[in-house]
Amino acid sequence: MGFKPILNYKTKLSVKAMSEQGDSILVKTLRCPSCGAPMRPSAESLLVICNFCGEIVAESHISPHAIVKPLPMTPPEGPGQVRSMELILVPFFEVKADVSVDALGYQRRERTETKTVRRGGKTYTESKTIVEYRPRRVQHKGSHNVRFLARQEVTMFGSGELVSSVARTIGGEPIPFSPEFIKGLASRDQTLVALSPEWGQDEASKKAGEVIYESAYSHAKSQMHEVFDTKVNFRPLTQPKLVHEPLLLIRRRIQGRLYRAAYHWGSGQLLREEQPIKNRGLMMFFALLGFLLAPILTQIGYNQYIAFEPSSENAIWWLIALGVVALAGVIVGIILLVRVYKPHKIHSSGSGLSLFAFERLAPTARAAIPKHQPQQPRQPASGKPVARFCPKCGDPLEQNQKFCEKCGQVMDGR
Amino acid sequence: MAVERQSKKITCGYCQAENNIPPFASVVTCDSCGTPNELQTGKTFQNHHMLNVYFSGSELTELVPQYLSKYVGVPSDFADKAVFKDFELRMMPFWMFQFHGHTDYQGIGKYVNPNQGSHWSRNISILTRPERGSIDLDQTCLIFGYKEQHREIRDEKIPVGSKDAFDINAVNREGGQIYDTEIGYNEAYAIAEAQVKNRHNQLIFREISKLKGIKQDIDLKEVSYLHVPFYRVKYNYGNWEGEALVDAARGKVLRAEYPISRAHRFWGLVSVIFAIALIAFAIILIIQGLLPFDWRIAGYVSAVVFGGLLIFGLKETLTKKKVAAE
Repeated sequence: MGFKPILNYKTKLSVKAMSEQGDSILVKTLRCPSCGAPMRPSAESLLVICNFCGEIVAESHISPHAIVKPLPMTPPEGPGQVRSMELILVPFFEVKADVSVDALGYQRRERTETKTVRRGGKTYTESKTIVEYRPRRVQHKGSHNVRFLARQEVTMFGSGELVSSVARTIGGEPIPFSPEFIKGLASRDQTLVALSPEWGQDEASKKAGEVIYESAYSHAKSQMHEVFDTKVNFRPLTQPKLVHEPLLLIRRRIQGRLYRAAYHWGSGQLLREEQPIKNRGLMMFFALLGFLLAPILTQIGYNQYIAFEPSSENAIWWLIALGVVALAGVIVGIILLVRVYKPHKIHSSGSGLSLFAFERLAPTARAAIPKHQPQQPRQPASGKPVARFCPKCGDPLEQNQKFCEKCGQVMDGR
Repeated sequence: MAVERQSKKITCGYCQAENNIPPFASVVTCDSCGTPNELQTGKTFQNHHMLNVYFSGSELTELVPQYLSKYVGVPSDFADKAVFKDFELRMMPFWMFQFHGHTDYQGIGKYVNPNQGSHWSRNISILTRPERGSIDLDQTCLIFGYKEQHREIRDEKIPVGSKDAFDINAVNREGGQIYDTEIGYNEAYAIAEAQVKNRHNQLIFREISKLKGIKQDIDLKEVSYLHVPFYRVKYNYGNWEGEALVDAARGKVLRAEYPISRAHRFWGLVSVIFAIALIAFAIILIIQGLLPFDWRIAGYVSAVVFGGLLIFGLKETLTKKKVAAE
């Protein structure tokens, strides 16, 4: 079956990679600069601690790379006593890109038409539901600053809110990456975790296109009953930039119980927080009140119903009105009872992400972006080849070695 | 690799050490060198990874009571009086596949004429046209190594980007116990490949409504046998015994049992007595005779509502153990 794609996913989501830097993230320098001992690479963290002399090594192979400067580690305002604070630098990629979206489908609505008719001397109300449709097209053209997580998954408390807030520009002061700055942070805060990105810059451009396609599709889907076509054109204007955003996780002790909170520690914005449930006793009281009132109200409604003539409209309305109030009392009682038994309530800054959540670039900012020049792979300052180590076990390798002597891993020629 | 099924032993294909074959296992990780050996094919896997253990047992003695402290009914002195007696570190098996999938498709797609106008009408003309396209996606699939057991782990989101080369010495140092998969490589591959195809099909059917032809190339970029650490912790509170399951890489409590305090059960008993009293009153209303007017409807409704409260109160009074899960 020969295919000549004329309307394909790539065209709909056309992504042109900007970087020719390759998988530079995999090339790791794994010698302690202090004592020269080999260091084991970590896929998890930018920070590697030398087992021999305790030196902290932080190195980035992605350029440009920035870190949003964390605020001082003073506990944020809030109730209770702060028991623990943990700072995590979460990696994001930032791609400035021209985005155009053209989605086609239709909308559907239902409306009820009511009319009064007279038949046999009596008046009736007739209503019918009418279904209507109209074509809908969602078009969007603009330049965006697309920020997205540089890992497949982060699962810590508040990570969903962080991803969504960073996409919307949360603020903070980005500064260029420097190993000294990270080392300074690590020595100031022993619990610092600096997560590594999982992708290189080439893959990041492609992922950015996928993120935009998904957000465009979900935006179109929210506007239409059925979406037929979603064409997305994504053209990166700059190389993907790696930005580490600081996430502060704290645990607070309130009334003898521990509650978590997550802050974006570049701007100080609260992302997600567990809060104690107050007035449990009062909620229990109102729940019981709802349960007690339900039978009484139902009985009063019934009594009113039989007090009138049975076919009278007033009688039926009495019955329905008090029956509904009684049912509402029982439902409110059950809801209050469920709330009383929850361990905490959650306050969240929101984790949804739509196409228009990504920061728009102002026309002047868009015009100021220089035309991209493909970058050559970075060479070490000394001009000597970069030291090679097995990406699986970290064993040092000779320049031409094709297999790792320790674990047998096949090298791909880097 | 030699497999002696009768004595349930296997000789490691890498270091020749002899290992026991656990029941239902289709892969056996060598206790000496950490190399996984597949029983069916006799092959050893080179790509064996793990997530590192970042939480020690002593940290869990604080973490678990802290996590449970917010739950209603937990005794106020639980954190002080709970005695942790058993920390079992389990390295649970997953298969991780990274695919590059390319699909060419053709079919019939629907469209509407956007120039039809923006007014609402009772009918809309939905037209069809032949469409073709292609999908190009990288995808990672994680398949849990057990079919039925350990269900609480199956749906956990695992941050596979943090994986490191498997280190048997690190596992032994932490006293970890390696669990091996009952799902073999071929079966896991088939499940993962089906997941990739499903994702492609989902994308295809966003664009077309009827498929006429499809050509799929699903290339495996990387496969890894992955072990993820979890703690099963046992603790006592007086004579009461409970256990918790904690992700040892992230410190997340997946599931934890907690005791119910006497004070809480006392209030449960109060609600039982209250509900019984009201049900008795409801019966009086239903039988009437004692009241000058008819309150039967209120009696029926009260019996139903407070019957529910009675069941709830009984449950709270008799339950001595509850489970907290995120």
